[in-house]
Amino acid sequence: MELHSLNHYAYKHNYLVNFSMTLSALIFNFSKAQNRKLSGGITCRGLRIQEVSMAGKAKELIITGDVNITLKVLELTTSGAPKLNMMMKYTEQNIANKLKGETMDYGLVLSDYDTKANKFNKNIPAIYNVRYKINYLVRLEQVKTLSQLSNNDFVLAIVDRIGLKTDKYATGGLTAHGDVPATVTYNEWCKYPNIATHEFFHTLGLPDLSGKSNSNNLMFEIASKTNNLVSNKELANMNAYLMEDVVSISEGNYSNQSFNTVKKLRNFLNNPTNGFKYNKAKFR
Amino acid sequence: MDLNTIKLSLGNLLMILFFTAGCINKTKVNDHTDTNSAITDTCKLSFNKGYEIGSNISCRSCHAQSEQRNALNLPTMRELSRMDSLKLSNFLFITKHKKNLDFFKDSPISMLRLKRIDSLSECDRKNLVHFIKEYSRTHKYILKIPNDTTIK
Repeated sequence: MELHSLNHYAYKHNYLVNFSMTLSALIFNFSKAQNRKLSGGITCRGLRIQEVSMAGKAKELIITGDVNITLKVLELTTSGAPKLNMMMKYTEQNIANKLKGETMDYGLVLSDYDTKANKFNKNIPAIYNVRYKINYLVRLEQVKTLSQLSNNDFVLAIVDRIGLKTDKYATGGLTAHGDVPATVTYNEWCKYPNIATHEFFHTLGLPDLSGKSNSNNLMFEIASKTNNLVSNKELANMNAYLMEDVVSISEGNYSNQSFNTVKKLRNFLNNPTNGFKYNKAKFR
Repeated sequence: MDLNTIKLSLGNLLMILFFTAGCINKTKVNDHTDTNSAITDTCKLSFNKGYEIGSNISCRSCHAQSEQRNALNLPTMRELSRMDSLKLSNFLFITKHKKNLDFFKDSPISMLRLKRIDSLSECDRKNLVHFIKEYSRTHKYILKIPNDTTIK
């Protein structure tokens, strides 16, 4: 079985936690021996692109294929996280469910697509309507040390407490707009299982929502056990973030560019204004 | 004679008092007007509002969110955010966009977006500039926890 088939198999059968973890380790070692890079928040191996032209209408590209999203979880609590695996599994499924669905992006500035050569000509700009039919294969992976984090990884840090607040409410999660890392407090994550998905979606560029009409939305600014809706517009915005580098993605094996993850995580957690309380012995 | 002098003095005094009172009242009216204009000229800057405006215009269709420029070589969102606010508000909406009209003329949706930018209200414009500027300031989102479970 080829390496990418093994990888694909592992993602498709991710409910077999132990098996897939063993398989991941096997794939990792195999790739290491072959010097093949697998790390990165967004990775994929070749998307299918089809150009559709209709008289009097704007040119349309239909993009289909599998894209892997890996979110690395760094547990930094003082008294341990006994429910961590369960919470990770729930969040993995929740993120995958919320990213399901077809979206359309109108009037996108890309490079000209050569249908005969089946590739983009990077030097010639062109405007397309783009239809995304992407199957996102989401995976949460626990890491124990900073050395297991690459600079192009997404990361979710699990901490004891976040001191930063603007009003009477305590804080359960903190993330900067469109940036890594995302953070949640362990106790609040256990009480409100959707908050890790909420924080990760800030990484994918979604803002907080306020107002009573948005109280059922996942991105509502106050945590709840029931708010878990994602609008089509939000899905379209996340698709646009994940597929922004579609010209490079279409060329074959793809890993996203550096987010400078390790440095950003270090700065974010050690910024005194954020007021993080976490087990510093685990941050190594 | 003395009585006339007293009458004139009193009259002058009354006139002075009348004008002084008039001026004080006028000053008060002016102050009141200034306060009113200060109150009505409030445009609350909000990152989320700016995001909403930017999302409706779809800035990201032309200006990449990542560091990589697109084929048209337009500045990325982060590059825009490093520009001076005044420069952004003065030139971004009109002059700079007009440079690309030839390229966009066959794309009705792009033309519509450009028109939409120019028709933004002053407050919406300020919010959009605020949103763009926050791109390089790493705007933080704080997830609030309901009071009943607040950690003490």
